[in-house]
Amino acid sequence: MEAGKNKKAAIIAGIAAVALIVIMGAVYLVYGPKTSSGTKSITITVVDNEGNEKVYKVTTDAEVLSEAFQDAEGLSVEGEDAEYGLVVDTVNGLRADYTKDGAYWSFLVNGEYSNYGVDTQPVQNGDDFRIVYTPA
Amino acid sequence: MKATAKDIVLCALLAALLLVLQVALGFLPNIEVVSLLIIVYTLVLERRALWIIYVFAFLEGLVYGFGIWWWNYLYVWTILYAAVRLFRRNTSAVFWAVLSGLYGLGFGFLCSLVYLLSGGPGAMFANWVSGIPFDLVHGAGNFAVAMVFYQPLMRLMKKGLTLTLRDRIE
Repeated sequence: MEAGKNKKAAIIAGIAAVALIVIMGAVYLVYGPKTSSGTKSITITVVDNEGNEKVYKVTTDAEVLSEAFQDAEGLSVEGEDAEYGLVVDTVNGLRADYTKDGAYWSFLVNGEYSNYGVDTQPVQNGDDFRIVYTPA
Repeated sequence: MKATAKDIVLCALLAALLLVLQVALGFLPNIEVVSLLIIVYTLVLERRALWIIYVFAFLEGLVYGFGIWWWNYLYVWTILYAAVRLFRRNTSAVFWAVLSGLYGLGFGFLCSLVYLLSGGPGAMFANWVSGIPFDLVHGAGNFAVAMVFYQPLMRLMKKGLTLTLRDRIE
């Protein structure tokens, strides 16, 4: 009897899991990041540890932000490859490594914090990106 | 709930074990054993598992810093604890593997709740959606890990505790 109840609960939980996977997949397809081809004009602003801003006006065919960095003349972005893609720790030679420096680089897209890594953050025409040195 | 010295030492050790395994497996993308261990701890130690969860959360903060993500840890593991307590009479390894998988699937959503307070529904939704691919991997990983390790861990915990907390595990 008890084994029967356990089995029934496992089956119900399994059905719930499959339903959740389907819903999450559908939500991601509809609302997930969408890249676009073609030439875009974007702005990348770097704010360093003293609050100094350096603005890069970039014309690029890049579909994601990390590709657009390569078209920004004079901009240098470095980091380590991790499970979420490139994790930026150094911008224009200034390091902000959380464990070593107690700071990190924040990424904002049109005034909002980016929810994606630089390798998946889509680039759209007119986007305004800000890379800000942020003490923890 | 009266704590003995043995309880305190045991919970501290098990919380430390959680931290060590979490850090050690950190290089594997979205594969973790924390969910399974919390399920096992809760089934065996019952309410004492809450102490482990909060010691673990504090230790995580010390290691990784007390950023906004850290506030998630104050409730996400407690939600898993509550779910386990709700179904504690179930003894099916498959059930616990599926529950662990469900928890992995929902982990990003639970974590995004904190952004509801800091940025509103839009920020929360965007944060959740951006993590869906990782949640899917997390769910599959949790299911697989629990399918393999649930029964050995339960045996190990019960056997170990028989030596230390004989009166509490029957």
